[in-house]
Amino acid sequence: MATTTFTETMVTSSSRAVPWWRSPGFVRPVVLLVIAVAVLVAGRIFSAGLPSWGAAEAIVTQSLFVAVLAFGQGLVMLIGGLDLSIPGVIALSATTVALWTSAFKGDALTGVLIALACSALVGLIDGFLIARFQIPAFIVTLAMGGVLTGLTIGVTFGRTAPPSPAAIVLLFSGSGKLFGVGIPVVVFILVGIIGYFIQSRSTWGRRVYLFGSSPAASRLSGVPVRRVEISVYVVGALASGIAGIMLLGFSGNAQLSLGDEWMMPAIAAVLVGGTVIGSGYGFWQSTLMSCVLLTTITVVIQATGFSQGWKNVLYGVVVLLALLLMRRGTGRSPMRLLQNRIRRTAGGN
Amino acid sequence: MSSAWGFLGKAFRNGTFRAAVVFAIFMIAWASKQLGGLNVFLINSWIVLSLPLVIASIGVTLVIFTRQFDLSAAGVVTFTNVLMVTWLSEINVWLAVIIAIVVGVAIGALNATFIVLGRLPAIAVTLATLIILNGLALVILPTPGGRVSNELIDAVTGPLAIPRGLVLIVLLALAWVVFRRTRLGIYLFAVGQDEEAVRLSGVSVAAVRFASFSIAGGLYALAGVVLTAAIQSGDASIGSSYLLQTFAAIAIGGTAFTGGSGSVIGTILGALTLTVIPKFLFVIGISGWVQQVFTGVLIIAAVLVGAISTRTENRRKRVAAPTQSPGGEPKDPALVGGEA
Repeated sequence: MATTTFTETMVTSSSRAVPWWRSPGFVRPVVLLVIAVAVLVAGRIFSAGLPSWGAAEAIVTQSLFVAVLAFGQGLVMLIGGLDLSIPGVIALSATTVALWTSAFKGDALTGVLIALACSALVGLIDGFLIARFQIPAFIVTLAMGGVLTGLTIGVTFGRTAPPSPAAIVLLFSGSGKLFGVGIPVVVFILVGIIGYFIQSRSTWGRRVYLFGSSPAASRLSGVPVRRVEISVYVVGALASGIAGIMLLGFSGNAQLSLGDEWMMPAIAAVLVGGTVIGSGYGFWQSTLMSCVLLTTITVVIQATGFSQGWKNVLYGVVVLLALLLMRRGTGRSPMRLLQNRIRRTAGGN
Repeated sequence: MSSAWGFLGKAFRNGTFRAAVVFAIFMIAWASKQLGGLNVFLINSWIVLSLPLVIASIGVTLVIFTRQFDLSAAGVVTFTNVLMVTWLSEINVWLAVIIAIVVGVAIGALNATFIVLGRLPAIAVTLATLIILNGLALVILPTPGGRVSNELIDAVTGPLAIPRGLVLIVLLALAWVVFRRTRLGIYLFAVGQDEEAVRLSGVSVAAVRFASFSIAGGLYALAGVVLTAAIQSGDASIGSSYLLQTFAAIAIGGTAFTGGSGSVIGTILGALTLTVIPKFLFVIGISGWVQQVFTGVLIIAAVLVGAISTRTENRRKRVAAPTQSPGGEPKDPALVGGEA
């Protein structure tokens, strides 16, 4: 298994036999975006006001939070981990910023820096335990999430949820405008571009891919494997910390449960985007677009008036379907058949 | 003297022994701090509340033995809890219990189908199952409530000289001791240790995986049934804590997450430790967030100790192996030198 994924990764990433517009790194995000738009338009069936610019902007705003989380989660999943500390880190960073600015009357920027430093520290501890002692990532992060939630309750004990500083509210609630669209939309595009360069174009990103597909091979090729593995968890926790600050601005105050409903969408987005856990195979572009697709589905479901329970069921089913469709390594997978068909049709022209 | 230390060192490398020590420490701490000492009622209420965790953790342990992960335990526990107080509350209670367990087995088999036939990562599949089951539970029972038959409550919590939960735990431990010697019990470990070797020796790895996930699913369902009797109501969010707690119980119980080793008895002790800790912290006047932090740190510590002891054990084996071969020199002198 390990060897096949390794060679396949090499083929898909470095061979020039497939032109870029037919490579999965381009086809997948486009397909996901097209489905997202189709779902939004189909939302007309349930709600008269649905395909609208307002709804689209709301979708992109909410996708932003999922996308930031999915960026960190995607990297962690590339190397075979799973970060379940997301709600804890979100609560920690949001509470840090909100407490710093409200209870200690500090300025927002310092608060943000402190929050990010705390998040990075959490990631460092996670990564050290995971890389040094080979402990399964999801247990370390799950326990760490519990510790963080507990600490956050301890810090805010007896207080009501502290409010967000006005600057952050302006940035991430969608009330602030830039170039005629909400600031979150602009940030979403920025996150997409920065994420692409970090994951797919930087040396560090390539090392993460290599480590994910074969730790042994990356060790043999002189990559400081332990440092790479730890850094992935630091980046993952930083992403959660950043998402925590964004969510603080979005919701207005730092409730403890701020991050609870955002973890599953992030994991789902990574899986639907076609990242295979622990294989070093996956594309940030398709993760980004699957964030948009999943948020669109959520918004449309909300318009239909279905309950939270059905939303969960649908998420689970979408994840299972995505896992089946995006399966690699077998010639019979529906996605592969579809790709082959497209390839043949395109070749015939 | 030195042999006594050697014996202690050997014992501490045994995960089940470590779990027993940790459990004993917290149990003694609770007993000594509890006002008026422990009595059968206190023990009974504690056992009844820890029983679901014990049973669910055993299920997860069986899957861990085969080097797989199952995150769906929390989902199945919640789902059966909700089923028991809604659809299954109208029929005969024992029939309801059997149906609930069959549902659990079916969910486990479904997981295994995706994992074995679909060749998908277990962690992703069971995560999806967890989300779906939690969603279904919320759809069936949007607000906590429902009806629980008195017969079921009586059967689990009923008065007895010895707490009935304790009897059930002992029975489960005995069942494990027997099961471990059966063909399937041995295969579980074998698959976790070396899947390829098991396949080459003509055993169907797929069948072993199916069995482990299905039995685990049945145990989660049983845990859900017992939980229903313990809390005497239904709640679609009741199981959420089980995701962390089951793995915590296994970690404290000394079973390695790399599969192929460990003991269900350790897991039982681990689960009991996890439920004694809040009791102990409560009687000494600590509650709430400290408890949460304490549990989290304890889990990390337990996994850490387990990982370190497994590594030392492996290293000892690696060093020992070349010297044992007749007339053979150690293959890697640098490695052996590093150990000395």
